[in-house]
Amino acid sequence: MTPEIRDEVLCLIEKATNYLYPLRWVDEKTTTGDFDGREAAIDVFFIPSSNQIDFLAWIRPIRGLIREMTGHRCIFIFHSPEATITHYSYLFPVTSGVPLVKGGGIKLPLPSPGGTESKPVIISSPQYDIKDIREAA
Amino acid sequence: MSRVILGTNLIEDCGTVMTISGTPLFSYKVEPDEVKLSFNIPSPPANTEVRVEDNVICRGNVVVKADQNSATISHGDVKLLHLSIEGDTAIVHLDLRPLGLRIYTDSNALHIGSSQLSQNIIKQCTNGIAIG
Repeated sequence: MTPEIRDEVLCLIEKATNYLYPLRWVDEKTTTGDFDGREAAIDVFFIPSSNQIDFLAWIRPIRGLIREMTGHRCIFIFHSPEATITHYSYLFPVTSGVPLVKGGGIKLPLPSPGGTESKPVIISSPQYDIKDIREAA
Repeated sequence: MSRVILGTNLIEDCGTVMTISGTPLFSYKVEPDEVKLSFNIPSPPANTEVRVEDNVICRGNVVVKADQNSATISHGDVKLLHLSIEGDTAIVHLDLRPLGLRIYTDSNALHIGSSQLSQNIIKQCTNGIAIG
């Protein structure tokens, strides 16, 4: 399965589920060990157990298409909000309480399909100019 | 002075509050009769282009509503951007998911892909938040 097809599948599922849950193809960052269908398994994060049936209902109309695209039946691995925070928080960085003055702001990449690969970069600059430093000296 | 709260982040006196692929996403003017909102998102990265200038829809299938203290741009049932004026501060709620971008605010944070920005203070910066 090419990276383009993998991205396209995530985009289809995101659209069908209105971007409610971050998605990610299972890889070494989320899962160790081997199991049947690992190559066609998708992690679904922050999904309460009560919403799992709805998720499957929303994607029912596109499951055939996904199967055609991937050549497999997809396996969905659901992670509750609590489990996501406990075990996968490294995928969901939180930048909180940063005071940034006279800098370049906060820069982030465009969200990738699935939405689990973005990290902010804080572009700061010196808070004092040369004149301030000379005066301080 | 411009003072905006976007998903609990305070952005004050910045050149732009948020840019997406180098394009400023929105700006506003408070006028006596109504708030004038401009909104611009190109395609790509969005799946459809939307451009609103001073509440006038130039591109995109959206609806604009404005009054003295607030302005909203909606796409179907979803409010893409809702801006309300409270004193000298504009409170902005954003949801670009109908345009194919996982960028939205909730009561706790601004969500951009998997990142969350919350309770940050960005002052006198060229761009507050630059995406892409």
